[in-house]
Parts: sequence; structure tokens; C-alpha cells
Amino acid sequence: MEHKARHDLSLSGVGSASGGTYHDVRINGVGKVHGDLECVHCRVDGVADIYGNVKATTVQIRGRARVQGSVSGDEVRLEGDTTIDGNCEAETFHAAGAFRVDGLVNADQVSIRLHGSAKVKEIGGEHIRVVKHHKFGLFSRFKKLTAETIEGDDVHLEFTKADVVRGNRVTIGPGCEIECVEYRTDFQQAPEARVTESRKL
Amino acid sequence: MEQDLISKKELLELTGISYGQLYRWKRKNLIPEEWFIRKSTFTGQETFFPKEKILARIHQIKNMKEDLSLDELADMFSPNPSEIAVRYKDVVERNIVSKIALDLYQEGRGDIKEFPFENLLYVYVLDAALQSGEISLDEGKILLQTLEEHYAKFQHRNCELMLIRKLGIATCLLVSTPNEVHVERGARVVVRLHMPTYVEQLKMKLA
Repeated sequence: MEHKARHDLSLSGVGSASGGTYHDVRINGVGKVHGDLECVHCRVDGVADIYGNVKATTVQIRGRARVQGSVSGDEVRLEGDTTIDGNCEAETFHAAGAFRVDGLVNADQVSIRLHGSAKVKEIGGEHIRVVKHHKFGLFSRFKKLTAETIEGDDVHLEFTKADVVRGNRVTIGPGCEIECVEYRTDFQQAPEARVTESRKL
Repeated sequence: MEQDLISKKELLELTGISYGQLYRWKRKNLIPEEWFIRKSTFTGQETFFPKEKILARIHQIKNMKEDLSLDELADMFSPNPSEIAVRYKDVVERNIVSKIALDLYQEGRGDIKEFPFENLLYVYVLDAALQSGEISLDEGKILLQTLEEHYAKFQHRNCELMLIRKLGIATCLLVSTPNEVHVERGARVVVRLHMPTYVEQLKMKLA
């Protein structure tokens, strides 16, 4: 990628911008981006509405963001409250916060720390790990991940509700409600977990 | 057109690849999105693939990933034509297209020293159609004309080249895919060529 000619985009306060190609994108206040964003670093600390796709080497969302498209990058970190209407593709995907992805989360490493409610249609990758930070607490029972299918080589889940989980090594931890687990080599289930059906392939 | 499907589970079993690899290849666009066919089965949602295509593709990826990076592989598989131009001499020497197709293309165009990728693609597709034995040289000409006039309009989206014949009169059309085509009785789809397949084949030949 040619980085030299690229400018930075910084939205502080209330502002809007068109999409385009940038080096750094930072949204601190309330920002709207009308169009696809392509940049090296994309960071949202405020409230952002992005009407398009986001493609960046690193994406970090610490505020609230809604992306009406797909997100792709090498590293994607969702630490605030994020809604993505499309897919989310990355080499590493970290989430610690509330988020919703209407499409597929596809990453080599998927690690999700549940701090709020999380909803994803599908998750696919090599290592998938979902854990809850504080097992107890006032709103603890709302901290849950809901997904239709989760597929990976190594899958470790806690407090997850899913229709199908497929993998080579699958660990279903406490708080899980899984309809069907299909595993190849290894399957462990915590006593507090509910798995309706498990099958070795 | 009902094609043979293979489920993701069976595919992994058969080819020995892992979920991680499959998802990585999908991410890098080595496997086109439209090959992922979702269906509900009694075990819940499952993904299926067109069997022949996906097996061939995975075989190619496994063979070539030693020599090429995933990004280079992605270029090779993408329906976008490459930037390269090929010299006439090389086209002949490397036997990329047959002499007949080449002559037909050159008719009325004079001497051509160099082929941009797209033009070579037209000749390559023409060659494939001629080799199938289904079309005549004259029909080859209208095929070539159709490609030259309209292929660029698709801007590398997937499309198919079709030749329909009725009572010995042929019509050539270029349609975007995936779609279904039904023709009237008495007419026949003589050739139906999926352009991205040829883009890919040609890239492999040139690589």
C-alpha cells in the first residue's frame, strides 16, 4: 500500500465526512462517514455512523459505532458498543464489550470477552475463545453471546447460546446452551452447561 | 442445472484441511462467496459447496501455496484480468491458443505484435468454443465480435457467453451469472462458456 500521499481524517466535535482513502482515521466526537473508508488505522472513541465498508490494517472501536457495511482488517478490536451490518474479517478479532455482527465473523484468532450482550450470526476461524470476565454481578445474566453457528479448529465457549458448534477440539464451559455440538477429536462439557446433542464425526 | 454438492464437513474430511484454513482462504477470496451455499438440514444450518469446483480449487491451492503467497494466489483466482500483455511470438510458441483461432482473430486486424490480456482472453475463449467442435468458423466470428463489444461492460463481474442456434442461424449473447436460461423449442444452446473459468485457466497458462 502507498501511504505517503494519504491524509488523516480526524472528526472531533460534531462532523461528517465522505468516505475515501486515508492514513489515520479518528472519530472523537459524533461523526458520520458517508461512504467506504479505506485507511491504515481506524479508531473510534466517540460515536460514529459509517455508511459504508471499513477496510483498515487496524480497527479499534472504543466508543459507539454503527457500520452499515462490512469491516475488514488485520486486527479488529471492538471495545465499546459496535454494530456491524455486514461481515467482519480479520486476522485477529478481539471483542470486549457489547457488539452485534449481522454476518460472519471470520478470523484466525477470535477472542471475545463478554461485558455485555453480544450477537453474531456466524463465527468461523482457527481459534475461537469466548469467556466472561466477571462470572457474577448485577447484570451478569445479560452478558451472553448468541450465535447461529460457530466453527473452528479450537473452540472454547462460555456463556454462549448457539444452534450449532463444530470443531476439532470443543470445550463447552459454564452458562452455555448449545443445541448441537459436532466434534472431531475432543469434547469437554462443564457440568453447568446444557448441550442438547453432541456427535463425534 | 442441479449440481453435485458437498457439505463442509465432508469437504474437510476428504481434503484434510482445517476450519482455520478454509476460513482463511475464504477471507483472502481464494474461494468465491457464491460457492458457499447455505441450507437447512436436520442438524441445523450447514454450508455446501459445488463439489467439483471446490475440490479442484482446493487441490490447486494446496499445490501452489508452497510457491506463491496467499495474496498472489488470490490474484490468480480473481476474475479480474491481469495487467500483463503477451507477445504474439510467445502466444504461438507456448501454444496458448490454436493457430486456427489466432488466424481468425487476426483476420482483418493486420499484424498484431502484442496481446493485452483481455484480447488474448477473447481468442482463448474462441479457441475453447472452436475446440468443442460445436461451432463453425463463421459463428466464431460473431462470438469474437460479441466479446469485443460487450465483455468490458461487465467490468469483471461473472458472466457467461452463450451461442444459441435455431434453424442454422446462430445468435451470440453475453449474460451475467448466476442465472437460468430457457430457450424455445427448436432452438438450442450450442455453447455456454463461463468466463471466469477461462480467465483463471488463462492466468494459469501464462503463469
